[in-house]
Amino acid sequence: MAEASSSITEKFFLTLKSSDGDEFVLEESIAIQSITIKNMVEDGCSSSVIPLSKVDTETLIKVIEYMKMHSSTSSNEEEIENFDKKFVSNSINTILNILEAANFLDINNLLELCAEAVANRIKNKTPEAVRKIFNITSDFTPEEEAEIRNETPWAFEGNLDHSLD
Amino acid sequence: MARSNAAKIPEEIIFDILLCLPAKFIGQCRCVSKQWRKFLSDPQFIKAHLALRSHKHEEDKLIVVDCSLHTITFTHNPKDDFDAISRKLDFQYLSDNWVSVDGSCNGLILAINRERVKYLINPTTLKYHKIPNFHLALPVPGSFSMYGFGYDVVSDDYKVVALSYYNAVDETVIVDTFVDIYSVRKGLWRRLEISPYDHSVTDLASGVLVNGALHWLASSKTSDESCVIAAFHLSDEKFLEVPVPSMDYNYSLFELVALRGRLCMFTNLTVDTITICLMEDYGVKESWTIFRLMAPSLHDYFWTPLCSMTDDDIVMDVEEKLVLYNMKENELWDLMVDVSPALDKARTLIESLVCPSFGNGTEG
Repeated sequence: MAEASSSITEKFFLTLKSSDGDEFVLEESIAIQSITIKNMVEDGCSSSVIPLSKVDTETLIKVIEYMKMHSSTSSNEEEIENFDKKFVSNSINTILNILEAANFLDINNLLELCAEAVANRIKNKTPEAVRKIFNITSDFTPEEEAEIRNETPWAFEGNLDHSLD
Repeated sequence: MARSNAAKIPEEIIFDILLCLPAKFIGQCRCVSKQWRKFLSDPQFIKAHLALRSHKHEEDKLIVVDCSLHTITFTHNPKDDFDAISRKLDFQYLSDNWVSVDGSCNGLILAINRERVKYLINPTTLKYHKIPNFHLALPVPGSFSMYGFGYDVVSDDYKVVALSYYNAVDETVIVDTFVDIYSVRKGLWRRLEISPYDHSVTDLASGVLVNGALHWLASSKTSDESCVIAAFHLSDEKFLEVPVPSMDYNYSLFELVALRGRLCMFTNLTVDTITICLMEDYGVKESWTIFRLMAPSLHDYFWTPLCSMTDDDIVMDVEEKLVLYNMKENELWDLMVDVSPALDKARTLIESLVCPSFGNGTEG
């Protein structure tokens, strides 16, 4: 290792495999933004293909796009800002998938970006809409729910948004 | 779009998302499911939610008294101006005869009514806690009291501090000030040692909370009677001194205020000039920065710094109008905001879900 780094830094590449079986080759320096991958590299598991059984192809493409933008030294702050803005304009479903991937891969910036994006999207939604977005069935009886609403009138002032996007 | 795949989202991700949301929305989400209700009411969640807000200095709300209590929320509008939305707090069981707000910390305020009864209130959730009277409290009339309110990280407790002294018959006598402290967790008042300072020289003021300590301008009991900033630390319940700027002012004519976690001194008594001292690094004498701005337009008006939107500006109340003072450009801007209640005793407020009585709060 020490000899190799004398004049030119040698580039290492990793192969990531999505849950759909697609393989992606990525520069190690970019991929190790993921703490999970970084730990695998440090443990010497990077020589073969790294299987990411919890991340599908569509999501992995997005995550790689994000990591490339956030590691490349050429992209300036404004470029990154615009990229992030566009990135979070994906559908809420896509962002939730990316969030799960970011959680599994342990990429903190991406996790924060997406959590805030989802939060902004659901900010004015009704509890019914929130349940649908998060795929939750209410286990309250209508009476119990009415009671909670009565206990917290301050939370239900103003207009709420019933849509699901 | 709802999620097409039936997979449930892991709870830790939901936790991360909901932490970013305003308190009001968290309140709504408590009726999503029993599981959500449980974790959204959990003190750990409420603490994490608060920590995120105080870290970002999201102090975009003011609380003002006008017999009733009002919150004022500032928002950036698309034209890059500010809008202010005022909301009256409607309590079901408390009457509106409020006199002052004497402290604000972590989304809770200390409010005092005309009968001198003190309440801790969360203006977001309208939960409140009535503070009992202290049997050793000095008689009124016949004495003066100043209050402060803050959070003690070490014992995870909210504390109300009262400084009281008897009316001085002879003005040349150094006045002893009693220091009383109320622990919200214990629900009890205690009397501490007499304050090492003379608090009767400066104007009556509420304690200014910065860095876990309540600050008052006071006079030292030494022979020179110089003006000091006395900082009462809420954790070890002791006074320490914060250095004043090394300028030749009579600091007893100044007032204290907290701006985005920084201690600020200002005075109205320099004609045509705004003088604001800001302590950038807490406790470091050299970090006092002095801002001076000739402002003939403010001539004869009383102005008070209220809050800061960014690190470089101060929102000031000038005769019930809002003025933005940009410290970087050294310029004043009129904020075209219509706010009716009197602002001069406004305090900043953050939105939180913190319960004012460790679980025993009464809802209004």
